[in-house]
Amino acid sequence: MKTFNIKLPTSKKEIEELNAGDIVYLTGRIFTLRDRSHQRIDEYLKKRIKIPFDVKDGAILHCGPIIRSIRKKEWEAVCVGATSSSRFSPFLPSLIKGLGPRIIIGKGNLSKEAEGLLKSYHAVFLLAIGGCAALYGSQVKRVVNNYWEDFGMADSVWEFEMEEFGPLSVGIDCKGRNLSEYMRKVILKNNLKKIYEDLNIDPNFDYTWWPKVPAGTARATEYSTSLDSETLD
Amino acid sequence: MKKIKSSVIEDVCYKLLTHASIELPPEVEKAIQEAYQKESNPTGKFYFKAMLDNINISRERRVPLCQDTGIPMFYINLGSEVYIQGSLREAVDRATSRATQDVPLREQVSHPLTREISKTNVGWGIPPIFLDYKDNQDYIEIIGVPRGGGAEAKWQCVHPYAGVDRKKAIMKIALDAMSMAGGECCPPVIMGIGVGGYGRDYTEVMARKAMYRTPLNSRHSDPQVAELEETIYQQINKMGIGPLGIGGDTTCLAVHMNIAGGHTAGASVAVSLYCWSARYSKAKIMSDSRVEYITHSNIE
Repeated sequence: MKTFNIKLPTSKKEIEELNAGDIVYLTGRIFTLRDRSHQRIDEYLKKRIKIPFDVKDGAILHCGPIIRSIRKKEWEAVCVGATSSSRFSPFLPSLIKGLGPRIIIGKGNLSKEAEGLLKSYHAVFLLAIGGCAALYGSQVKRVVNNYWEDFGMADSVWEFEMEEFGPLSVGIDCKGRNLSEYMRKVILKNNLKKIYEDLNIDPNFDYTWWPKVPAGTARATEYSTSLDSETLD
Repeated sequence: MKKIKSSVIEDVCYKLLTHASIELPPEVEKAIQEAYQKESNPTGKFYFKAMLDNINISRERRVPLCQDTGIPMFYINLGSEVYIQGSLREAVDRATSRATQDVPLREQVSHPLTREISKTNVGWGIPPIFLDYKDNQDYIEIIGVPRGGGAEAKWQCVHPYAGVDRKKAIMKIALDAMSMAGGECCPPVIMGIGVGGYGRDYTEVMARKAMYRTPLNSRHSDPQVAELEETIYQQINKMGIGPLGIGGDTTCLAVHMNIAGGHTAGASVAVSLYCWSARYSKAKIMSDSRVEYITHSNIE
């Protein structure tokens, strides 16, 4: 576990030094993105409409902050913390190819495709410690700007000047190593095996009758139209 | 029957929501302190330290613990010996609107279809009021919960086969709920489990209310339920998920289970998780309108 202090914007070379599990502190400009801004970036890139902020070689944070408005174009950051990143995996290809950030900060995990994407574009996924929004909020030196204000406080894009923003840890490095995946596939898998043995629970037995699969998924379509469906139960 | 004015309820709801957003219940903070002390993974320990720093910064600067200040929810238990004079709905709405402005809380209640944002966190039936009733009780109990999204989204509610070993099914469902959620529900969590209570609405509310039990990680009065709680608590802490899924010794701070009668053809099982930043606050309004703050005794 090494510790790095990175000044933004960063470079391909600096990103390559980071390994999954390392601790990182960032100084410089970051931009917040959430559900609606991701959708708009995707839409604007497709329609070739200019995006009003530049994140090339920079850092974006999956976050809907709490901001206090002081006067016109002047704000104070109250709380700045990471939101669940798995919601944004579908938007990652257009974001990385279209805008070229080197650092994606969030919490939880990204999709399998994201690992390959980060690898080929030399970018990393950093984990903020979920729930530490008062701590991270106190590291905002200045709220620089607000874009797409029509989305409201949480979903609009905020530009922050950060000073030693951290601790953050490297969740997926640019060699495609994924800390969460290691936790699940190695640590949790082994521990669960032992737990189920101790409780005499068969992990391959179906205790649950309903739902078979969650409604609203591709697997639900498959289930409904397959011969195995037990709809006459 | 004694009268309690809705203005008293407004004042209490305002204070519950405000304090819950800024300060953890002391026993939750203590549980995180203890987890920090005993953590053997250096990165996990580092994470717990950051959580404790966050708790202190919120307290000193009087800012919310988390940017996701949640959907405000109120659980109200009305005693048979008291009644409310005035509008409970208006009291809760006004309390929420004032807390949103004063703390400030994030504006995040939005129309489910159009996504129009309420500036006050009031609107379209929010905040919900979960009303319960008790005989021979001369006070109103209120739990105010600024319920964030990350852990809430990872709820489970399923219907086990009637013919399977019921206790094993409950354990498997509870363990699956935790292992599936992994780090994204911001562990260590408080797990609430509801079993029985035909229909998901009842089962899920039982699971949610179980999370807010005081004292933290205390056991149910029914020894069979208590045994399941203890087993699930012990086993989850052997998963190694640790703080935020980074790996560590503490994955849950507490496991609480509530039960109600089920259907002979099966009893639904619901699991609800609260992130480490488990924000809730509880008060009793006595029949003479005196207020007792239970989780946050520092409220004036």
